[in-house]
Amino acid sequence: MLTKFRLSKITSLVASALLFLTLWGVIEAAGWSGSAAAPPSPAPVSFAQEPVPTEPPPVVVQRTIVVRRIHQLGETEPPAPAAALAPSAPSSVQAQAPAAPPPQAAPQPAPPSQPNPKPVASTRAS
Amino acid sequence: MEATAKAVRITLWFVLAFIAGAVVAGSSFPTHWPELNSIHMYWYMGRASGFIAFGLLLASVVLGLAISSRVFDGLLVRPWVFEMHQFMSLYVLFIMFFHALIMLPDPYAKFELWRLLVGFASPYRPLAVGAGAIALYGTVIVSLSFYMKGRIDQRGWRMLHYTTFGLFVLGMVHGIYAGTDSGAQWAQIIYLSAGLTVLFFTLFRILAARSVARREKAQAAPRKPIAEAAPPPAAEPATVAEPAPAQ
Repeated sequence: MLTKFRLSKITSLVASALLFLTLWGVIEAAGWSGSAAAPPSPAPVSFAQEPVPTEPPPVVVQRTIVVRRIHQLGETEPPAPAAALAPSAPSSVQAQAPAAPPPQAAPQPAPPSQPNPKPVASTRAS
Repeated sequence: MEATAKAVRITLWFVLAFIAGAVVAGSSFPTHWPELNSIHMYWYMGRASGFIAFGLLLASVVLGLAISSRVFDGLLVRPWVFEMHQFMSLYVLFIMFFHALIMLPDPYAKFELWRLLVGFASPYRPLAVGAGAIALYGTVIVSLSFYMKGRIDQRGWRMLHYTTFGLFVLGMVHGIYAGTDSGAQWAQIIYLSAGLTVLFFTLFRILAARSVARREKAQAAPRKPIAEAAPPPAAEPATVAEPAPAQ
């Protein structure tokens, strides 16, 4: 079997042995199932933590706004414009909150004093 | 004399290729050195030896096609090609048996010897393992035929060696459907490139045989007068028969 071209045959034997070792290592690195993506051992078990309830801060903010509105309405000062107090985006909480009374219309300005058609008569006789 | 010089040159190229391969393999060892005490060690060795057997079967088929099609005649000496073809046919047999037997000690697969050797009796993917068993037995028959060539006529020899294509296909089917690496990209590249290589050399072999037949027909045709006839084709051997084994 190894009488002719002995060097070529021995070389192919050694080369195949080296290739076998390399393939063995590569397949072992790839894992049992053959894909490196799937780990050979199961992932460690982790317990899920219960979610911590959080207070919805928008509710507090909206109530504050409502209170502020009511409070402001009770003052003598002219109410602030509605656009300044209203939140930028309506929320469901806002829908549940008691509707704020419509802003009171601005007090009518005093009727302009009609000009006196007649000049005030001077008491001093000229 | 010239043939000897060519053989020496080929051997030197072979040694250079081996050194380059050893360097590449050695550079990958630090990251992919096999773990000898792994519980899946036998399974990994079986899979690696399966790929080696498939590569040797590919080499044997390609060298056989190279003999009949003379595709390497300008590069390799024919006695070397024939000797390596015969050597690969025997060596692949050894690796095939190693591939089958190394699976036996695996504690998870729990193969039994008779189930491995009897086709389609394996509990693990019986069709694919059965295809591998048929490829193994077919390779045994084809490899033994090298030592019985004096008792087989040329036609029987050819027909027997044509079955090697079927054995190669069975080996590939076995690898794809029984191997757990078939989903990996590197394994798919190996199977695809091996299939395309065999397809290329087979087509080359068919075209070379047709070309030889055409030339034979042209030479056998009655010659026209010299004034009208085209220049005769270059003299070439009429057959593509394989040389007698140099044993």
